[in-house]
Amino acid sequence: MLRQEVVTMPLPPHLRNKLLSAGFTNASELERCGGPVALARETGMTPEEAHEVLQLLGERLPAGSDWRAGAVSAATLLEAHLAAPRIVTMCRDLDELLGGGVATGQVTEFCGVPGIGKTQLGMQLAINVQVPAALAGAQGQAVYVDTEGSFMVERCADIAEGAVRHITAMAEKQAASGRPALAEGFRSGAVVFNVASLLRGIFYFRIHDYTEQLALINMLPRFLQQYPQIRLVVFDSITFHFRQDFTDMSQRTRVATLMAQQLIATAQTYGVAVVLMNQVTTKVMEDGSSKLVPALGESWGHAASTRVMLHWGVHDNERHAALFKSPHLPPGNVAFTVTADGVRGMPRGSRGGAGLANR
Amino acid sequence: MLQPIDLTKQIPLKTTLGCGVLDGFLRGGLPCGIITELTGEAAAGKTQLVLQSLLTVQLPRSEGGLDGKAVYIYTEGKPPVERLQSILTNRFNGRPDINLANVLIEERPITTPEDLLRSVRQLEALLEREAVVPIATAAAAAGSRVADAATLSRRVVRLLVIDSVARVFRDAGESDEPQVQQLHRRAAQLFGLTALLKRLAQEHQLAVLLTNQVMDDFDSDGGTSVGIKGGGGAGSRPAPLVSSGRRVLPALGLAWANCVNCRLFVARHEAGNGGVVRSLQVVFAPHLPHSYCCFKVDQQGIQGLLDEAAEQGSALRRHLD
Repeated sequence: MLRQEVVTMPLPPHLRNKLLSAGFTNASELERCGGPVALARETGMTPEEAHEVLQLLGERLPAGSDWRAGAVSAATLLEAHLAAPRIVTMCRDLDELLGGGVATGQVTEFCGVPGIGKTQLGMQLAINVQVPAALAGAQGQAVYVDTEGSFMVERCADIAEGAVRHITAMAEKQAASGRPALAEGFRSGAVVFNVASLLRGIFYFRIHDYTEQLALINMLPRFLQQYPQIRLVVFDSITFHFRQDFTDMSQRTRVATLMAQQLIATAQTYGVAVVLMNQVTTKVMEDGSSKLVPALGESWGHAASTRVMLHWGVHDNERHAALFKSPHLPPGNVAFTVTADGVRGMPRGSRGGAGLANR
Repeated sequence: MLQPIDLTKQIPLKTTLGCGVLDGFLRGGLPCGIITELTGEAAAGKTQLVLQSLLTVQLPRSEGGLDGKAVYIYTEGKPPVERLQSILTNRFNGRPDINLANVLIEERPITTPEDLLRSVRQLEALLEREAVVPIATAAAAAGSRVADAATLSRRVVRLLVIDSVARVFRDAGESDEPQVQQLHRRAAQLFGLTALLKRLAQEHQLAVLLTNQVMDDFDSDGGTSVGIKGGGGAGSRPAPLVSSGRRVLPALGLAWANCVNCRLFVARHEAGNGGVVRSLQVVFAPHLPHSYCCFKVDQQGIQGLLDEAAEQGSALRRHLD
């Protein structure tokens, strides 16, 4: 039993990879590592994940049940899915629309017109992925792939500042209700959550054409192995470089399909949230009216398991998010705002028509 | 091998517009590394703003400039060199560090997308050489002597202005090509031009300023239906843009809107007392909220107005609130 190889353990693929990357090859090595916290530290897992791995080990049957090697029970998968950390947007309604936040292990797409808030949301997620586990955050790092140049560091610093204030306030609230661990962690410096650390927690890439984009997607698995703390990869936008350079539409479709497959595999293997920002184009309908549709056409529609259209509402300056594809959530539409601090929910009691954002 | 960029070491660079009010409104001025679009009707004040920026980029860093040169690609006929000279004389009188020799003007007529692309590629070559090889200089065009060579050689191009992009692309397309294909081809050209401009902007830390025209916004639907309508209707924009009492839309459509990082709308409004109020409005920008700033135009160029000073601002506020 102690000779059970890590590669044959019935673990979710991303956990197995973490063990392998950290150099664990069999069960006896895991037994010796000294408990879930030590294992978490060595492998970059969360303490919950490490606990799950060691529990699985404890329940292992003696050799003879190798038929399970490589297979994972549906129960384990469901547990892993439900336990998988989500990345909040800091707009409660939007988080609810997404089933608690953006899911890791999946590809989520946000599309919308220029100025609706795609980059704002991308930056907000890159900050929020770093929220400590004590506040149910993913406590991870982010990769931000900027293909359009819209990522401005001063704005990201604003959003980071807003998040620091928000998280500090939540830590104080926890302390007031008898759970002072996080607040003390901040004070002592054991837990770091400030603007500089948040900016350092984002691996930022600037991409200038589609070959660079494909090269990055190809190297992403290696990068994620090198930095197992990464829980989020944002592409802002995934579409820009595909709207030129291709005179042959079928070639574009082939490349886009390949890109989609790689992104899905990367999300699943490494348990990261892959978030794609997409542009929209105008489609003229049969009756002459026009509709806004995601760019890159029907062939791209299969890339993301969750798709959200960001759009302006009926009243001036009101932003909305409409969920139109999801593995298990019903469609829905919520309002959100973008303030000086970043993405937030609508102020309680307001109807919308927020007018000029506060600064 | 692709390497991540350390965000904590990024210093956002901006070039001043020469006015504290406008700079404050834009959080420092025109950003380097991105594409800023100035859209608005003719005579709203776009070209004035642009001409002023050709001079203010030359200011030293201590005054908010970039110690740089500017490249001016004018697509609507003869470049307005006399106006440029006039702002120079009235606003920067006697300053040796601000002169027309630091403004490089594209001499050949630019009428097609291919012309424009060619001109930008030449700029790329120039930037790479980082030497002064003027295509033409505003100084020569105005008939005055070229400034001291030593002054010229220290500076590099920090601002590119294309005035306007709309003119070059609006007439593009052969008449016997189907409409849909024309739009596709135009979109591909716009995206191609944009990708090149953005790469240059980022690699050489240039501020890129493009002007665009507007069209009338005929979609008069009050937005009563819930749904995501295309074109200019509710769903695709935050609020209508108004100039001279008419609703307008920036030209070149949604494809072009996807290309620019920052869109600023310049508008003129009739004030109650018969005067004219001008406004600069943020339509979208990664680093700015929806907001507007009034300004006036006089012999010295553009001057931003603080809210209290905008006595005629009430007419404007009726439009915008």
